[in-house]
Amino acid sequence: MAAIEFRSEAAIPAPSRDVPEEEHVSEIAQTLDVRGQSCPLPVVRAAQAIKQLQTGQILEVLATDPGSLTDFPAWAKSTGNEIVEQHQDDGVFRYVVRKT
Amino acid sequence: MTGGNGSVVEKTDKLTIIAASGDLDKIWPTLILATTAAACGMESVVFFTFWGLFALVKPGRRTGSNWMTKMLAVMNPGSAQKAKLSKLNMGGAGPWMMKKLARDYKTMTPDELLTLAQEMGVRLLPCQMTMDLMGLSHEDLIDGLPQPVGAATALLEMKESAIQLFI
Repeated sequence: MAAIEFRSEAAIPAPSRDVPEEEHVSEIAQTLDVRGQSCPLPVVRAAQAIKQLQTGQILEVLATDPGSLTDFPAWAKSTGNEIVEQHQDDGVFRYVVRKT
Repeated sequence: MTGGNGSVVEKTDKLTIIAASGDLDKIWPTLILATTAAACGMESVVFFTFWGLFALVKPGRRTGSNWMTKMLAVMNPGSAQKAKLSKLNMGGAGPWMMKKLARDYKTMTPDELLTLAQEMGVRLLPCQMTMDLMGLSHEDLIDGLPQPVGAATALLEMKESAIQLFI
Protein backbone atom coordinates (compact mmCIF):
# COMPACT_ATOMS: atom_id res chain seq x y z
CA MET A 1 0.00 0.00 0.00
CA ALA A 2 1.30 3.44 -0.88
CA ALA A 3 2.07 5.71 2.03
CA ILE A 4 -0.82 7.99 2.73
CA GLU A 5 0.05 11.56 3.18
CA PHE A 6 -1.82 13.17 5.98
CA ARG A 7 -2.98 16.67 5.37
CA SER A 8 -5.51 19.12 6.64
CA GLU A 9 -8.55 20.14 4.60
CA ALA A 10 -6.97 23.46 3.74
CA ALA A 11 -3.77 21.88 2.42
CA ILE A 12 -5.41 19.83 -0.34
CA PRO A 13 -3.71 20.70 -3.63
CA ALA A 14 -5.80 22.28 -6.38
CA PRO A 15 -6.14 19.21 -8.69
CA SER A 16 -8.28 17.28 -6.21
CA ARG A 17 -10.75 20.18 -6.34
CA ASP A 18 -11.49 19.26 -9.96
CA VAL A 19 -13.86 16.62 -8.68
CA PRO A 20 -17.05 18.28 -7.52
CA GLU A 21 -17.83 17.88 -3.83
CA GLU A 22 -21.23 16.26 -4.57
CA GLU A 23 -19.57 13.52 -6.58
CA HIS A 24 -17.43 12.59 -3.58
CA VAL A 25 -20.45 12.48 -1.33
CA SER A 26 -22.63 10.53 -3.76
CA GLU A 27 -20.01 7.75 -3.86
CA ILE A 28 -20.31 7.12 -0.13
CA ALA A 29 -22.51 4.12 0.57
CA GLN A 30 -22.41 4.46 4.34
CA THR A 31 -21.04 6.78 6.98
CA LEU A 32 -19.86 5.36 10.29
CA ASP A 33 -19.60 7.80 13.17
CA VAL A 34 -17.24 6.49 15.86
CA ARG A 35 -16.32 9.90 17.23
CA GLY A 36 -15.54 9.65 20.93
CA GLN A 37 -14.98 5.89 20.83
CA SER A 38 -11.66 4.33 21.83
CA CYS A 39 -9.60 1.35 20.71
CA PRO A 40 -10.55 -1.25 19.57
CA LEU A 41 -14.05 0.00 18.71
CA PRO A 42 -13.35 2.30 15.70
CA VAL A 43 -11.69 -0.54 13.79
CA VAL A 44 -14.13 -3.19 15.02
CA ARG A 45 -17.16 -1.07 14.04
CA ALA A 46 -15.59 -0.32 10.65
CA ALA A 47 -15.07 -4.05 10.05
CA GLN A 48 -18.68 -4.75 10.97
CA ALA A 49 -19.96 -1.92 8.75
CA ILE A 50 -17.90 -2.83 5.69
CA LYS A 51 -19.15 -6.40 5.89
CA GLN A 52 -22.59 -5.08 4.91
CA LEU A 53 -21.25 -3.35 1.76
CA GLN A 54 -20.63 -4.70 -1.73
CA THR A 55 -17.14 -4.82 -3.25
CA GLY A 56 -16.22 -1.39 -4.61
CA GLN A 57 -18.62 0.48 -2.32
CA ILE A 58 -17.33 3.28 -0.12
CA LEU A 59 -17.43 3.52 3.67
CA GLU A 60 -16.78 6.86 5.31
CA VAL A 61 -15.53 6.75 8.89
CA LEU A 62 -15.46 9.69 11.29
CA ALA A 63 -13.24 9.16 14.34
CA THR A 64 -11.57 11.17 17.07
CA ASP A 65 -9.26 8.45 18.43
CA PRO A 66 -5.70 9.61 17.60
CA GLY A 67 -4.68 5.92 17.50
CA SER A 68 -6.89 5.53 14.45
CA LEU A 69 -4.23 7.41 12.46
CA THR A 70 -2.08 4.30 12.37
CA ASP A 71 -4.82 1.76 13.12
CA PHE A 72 -6.88 2.42 10.01
CA PRO A 73 -3.97 2.05 7.57
CA ALA A 74 -2.95 -1.13 9.47
CA TRP A 75 -6.49 -2.46 9.31
CA ALA A 76 -6.67 -1.64 5.58
CA LYS A 77 -3.38 -3.43 4.98
CA SER A 78 -4.62 -6.50 6.86
CA THR A 79 -8.00 -6.68 5.16
CA GLY A 80 -7.00 -5.43 1.71
CA ASN A 81 -9.57 -2.64 1.82
CA GLU A 82 -8.30 0.59 0.34
CA ILE A 83 -8.16 3.97 2.08
CA VAL A 84 -8.81 6.35 -0.79
CA GLU A 85 -8.94 9.53 1.26
CA GLN A 86 -7.80 10.59 4.68
CA HIS A 87 -8.33 14.01 6.23
CA GLN A 88 -8.13 15.73 9.55
CA ASP A 89 -10.53 18.53 10.26
CA ASP A 90 -10.89 20.16 13.66
CA GLY A 91 -9.84 17.08 15.62
CA VAL A 92 -11.98 14.71 13.55
CA PHE A 93 -10.25 12.10 11.43
CA ARG A 94 -12.10 11.15 8.28
CA TYR A 95 -11.28 7.97 6.42
CA VAL A 96 -12.82 7.07 3.08
CA VAL A 97 -12.47 3.33 2.57
CA ARG A 98 -13.26 1.36 -0.58
CA LYS A 99 -14.23 -2.24 -0.01
CA THR A 100 -12.15 -4.62 -2.10
CA MET B 1 7.06 -25.93 8.57
CA THR B 2 7.67 -29.67 8.67
CA GLY B 3 6.59 -31.66 11.71
CA GLY B 4 8.57 -34.49 13.32
CA ASN B 5 6.78 -37.13 11.30
CA GLY B 6 7.18 -35.19 8.08
CA SER B 7 3.69 -33.67 8.19
CA VAL B 8 3.53 -30.15 6.84
CA VAL B 9 1.77 -27.46 8.86
CA GLU B 10 0.81 -24.28 7.05
CA LYS B 11 0.94 -21.04 9.01
CA THR B 12 -2.20 -19.09 8.27
CA ASP B 13 -3.42 -15.55 8.87
CA LYS B 14 -4.50 -16.49 12.37
CA LEU B 15 -3.97 -15.22 15.91
CA THR B 16 -3.93 -17.67 18.80
CA ILE B 17 -3.69 -16.38 22.36
CA ILE B 18 -3.24 -18.61 25.37
CA ALA B 19 -5.08 -16.75 28.13
CA ALA B 20 -3.56 -18.21 31.28
CA SER B 21 -4.00 -15.24 33.61
CA GLY B 22 -7.28 -14.15 35.13
CA ASP B 23 -6.00 -10.66 35.90
CA LEU B 24 -8.11 -7.84 34.50
CA ASP B 25 -5.01 -6.24 33.00
CA LYS B 26 -4.23 -9.46 31.10
CA ILE B 27 -7.73 -10.54 30.07
CA TRP B 28 -8.52 -7.05 28.78
CA PRO B 29 -5.71 -6.70 26.21
CA THR B 30 -6.21 -10.34 25.26
CA LEU B 31 -9.80 -9.63 24.25
CA ILE B 32 -8.90 -6.34 22.56
CA LEU B 33 -6.32 -8.14 20.39
CA ALA B 34 -8.62 -11.08 19.68
CA THR B 35 -11.54 -8.88 18.56
CA THR B 36 -9.25 -6.60 16.54
CA ALA B 37 -7.71 -9.61 14.78
CA ALA B 38 -11.21 -10.72 13.79
CA ALA B 39 -11.92 -7.17 12.58
CA CYS B 40 -8.74 -7.34 10.49
CA GLY B 41 -10.06 -10.44 8.76
CA MET B 42 -7.80 -12.83 10.66
CA GLU B 43 -8.95 -16.07 12.18
CA SER B 44 -8.89 -15.51 15.91
CA VAL B 45 -8.63 -18.05 18.72
CA VAL B 46 -8.26 -17.70 22.50
CA PHE B 47 -7.50 -20.76 24.62
CA PHE B 48 -8.55 -20.08 28.23
CA THR B 49 -6.57 -22.07 30.78
CA PHE B 50 -5.89 -21.98 34.55
CA TRP B 51 -6.88 -18.61 36.06
CA GLY B 52 -7.73 -17.33 32.58
CA LEU B 53 -10.59 -19.80 32.33
CA PHE B 54 -12.41 -18.06 35.21
CA ALA B 55 -13.05 -15.13 32.87
CA LEU B 56 -15.47 -17.40 30.97
CA VAL B 57 -17.55 -18.25 34.05
CA LYS B 58 -21.12 -16.90 33.99
CA PRO B 59 -21.51 -13.81 36.22
CA GLY B 60 -22.78 -14.71 39.68
CA ARG B 61 -22.31 -18.44 39.15
CA ARG B 62 -21.20 -20.40 42.21
CA THR B 63 -18.84 -23.10 40.96
CA GLY B 64 -17.04 -26.10 42.45
CA SER B 65 -17.48 -29.87 42.43
CA ASN B 66 -15.95 -30.65 45.84
CA TRP B 67 -15.01 -28.79 49.06
CA MET B 68 -11.69 -27.65 47.65
CA THR B 69 -13.00 -26.29 44.35
CA LYS B 70 -16.00 -24.75 46.15
CA MET B 71 -13.63 -22.96 48.51
CA LEU B 72 -11.54 -21.92 45.51
CA ALA B 73 -14.65 -20.40 43.89
CA VAL B 74 -15.33 -18.35 47.04
CA MET B 75 -11.78 -16.97 47.07
CA ASN B 76 -11.57 -16.64 43.28
CA PRO B 77 -15.10 -16.00 41.99
CA GLY B 78 -15.50 -16.35 38.26
CA SER B 79 -16.64 -14.08 35.39
CA ALA B 80 -14.78 -11.37 33.54
CA GLN B 81 -16.56 -8.78 35.71
CA LYS B 82 -14.84 -10.13 38.83
CA ALA B 83 -11.31 -10.03 37.40
CA LYS B 84 -8.80 -8.26 39.65
CA LEU B 85 -5.96 -5.97 38.70
CA SER B 86 -2.47 -7.47 39.12
CA LYS B 87 -1.44 -4.22 40.77
CA LEU B 88 -3.38 -1.32 42.31
CA ASN B 89 -6.35 -3.60 42.90
CA MET B 90 -7.10 -1.79 46.20
CA GLY B 91 -9.77 -4.27 47.25
CA GLY B 92 -11.73 -3.81 44.05
CA ALA B 93 -11.51 0.00 43.86
CA GLY B 94 -8.91 -0.30 41.07
CA PRO B 95 -11.05 -2.40 38.72
CA TRP B 96 -14.08 -0.19 39.48
CA MET B 97 -12.12 2.89 38.44
CA MET B 98 -10.77 1.12 35.33
CA LYS B 99 -14.30 0.28 34.24
CA LYS B 100 -15.47 3.82 34.97
CA LEU B 101 -12.61 5.12 32.79
CA ALA B 102 -13.53 2.60 30.06
CA ARG B 103 -17.07 3.93 30.17
CA ASP B 104 -15.87 7.56 30.05
CA TYR B 105 -13.53 6.87 27.13
CA LYS B 106 -16.17 4.81 25.32
CA THR B 107 -14.35 1.55 25.06
CA MET B 108 -15.56 -1.86 26.17
CA THR B 109 -15.04 -3.72 29.42
CA PRO B 110 -13.82 -7.36 29.27
CA ASP B 111 -17.30 -8.85 29.72
CA GLU B 112 -18.64 -6.70 26.86
CA LEU B 113 -15.61 -7.66 24.76
CA LEU B 114 -16.36 -11.35 25.38
CA THR B 115 -19.82 -10.90 23.85
CA LEU B 116 -18.37 -8.88 20.97
CA ALA B 117 -15.70 -11.55 20.39
CA GLN B 118 -18.38 -14.22 20.12
CA GLU B 119 -20.38 -12.04 17.70
CA MET B 120 -17.29 -11.60 15.55
CA GLY B 121 -16.55 -15.29 15.38
CA VAL B 122 -13.56 -15.40 17.73
CA ARG B 123 -13.26 -18.99 18.94
CA LEU B 124 -13.12 -18.98 22.75
CA LEU B 125 -11.79 -22.39 23.71
CA PRO B 126 -12.11 -23.58 27.33
CA CYS B 127 -9.34 -25.84 28.62
CA GLN B 128 -10.77 -29.25 29.54
CA MET B 129 -8.12 -30.08 32.10
CA THR B 130 -8.59 -26.78 33.96
CA MET B 131 -12.34 -27.41 34.05
CA ASP B 132 -11.79 -30.83 35.63
CA LEU B 133 -9.16 -29.59 38.07
CA MET B 134 -11.03 -26.44 39.16
CA GLY B 135 -14.45 -28.10 39.22
CA LEU B 136 -16.04 -26.11 36.39
CA SER B 137 -18.77 -27.60 34.23
CA HIS B 138 -19.74 -26.49 30.73
CA GLU B 139 -22.94 -25.03 32.27
CA ASP B 140 -20.81 -22.83 34.55
CA LEU B 141 -19.37 -21.09 31.49
CA ILE B 142 -21.02 -18.42 29.34
CA ASP B 143 -23.33 -19.69 26.61
CA GLY B 144 -22.29 -20.34 23.06
CA LEU B 145 -18.78 -21.64 23.68
CA PRO B 146 -17.27 -24.48 21.66
CA GLN B 147 -16.55 -27.81 23.35
CA PRO B 148 -13.57 -27.72 25.76
CA VAL B 149 -10.26 -28.82 24.28
CA GLY B 150 -6.83 -29.97 25.45
CA ALA B 151 -3.22 -28.88 25.07
CA ALA B 152 -2.70 -30.74 21.78
CA THR B 153 -5.50 -28.72 20.17
CA ALA B 154 -4.09 -25.49 21.61
CA LEU B 155 -0.65 -26.38 20.24
CA LEU B 156 -2.02 -27.13 16.79
CA GLU B 157 -3.88 -23.80 16.77
CA MET B 158 -0.61 -22.07 17.71
CA LYS B 159 1.36 -24.02 15.12
CA GLU B 160 -1.02 -22.89 12.39
CA SER B 161 -1.04 -19.27 13.53
CA ALA B 162 1.09 -16.44 12.19
CA ILE B 163 0.85 -14.92 15.69
CA GLN B 164 0.87 -16.84 18.96
CA LEU B 165 0.79 -15.17 22.35
CA PHE B 166 0.78 -16.41 25.93
CA ILE B 167 -0.82 -13.79 28.15
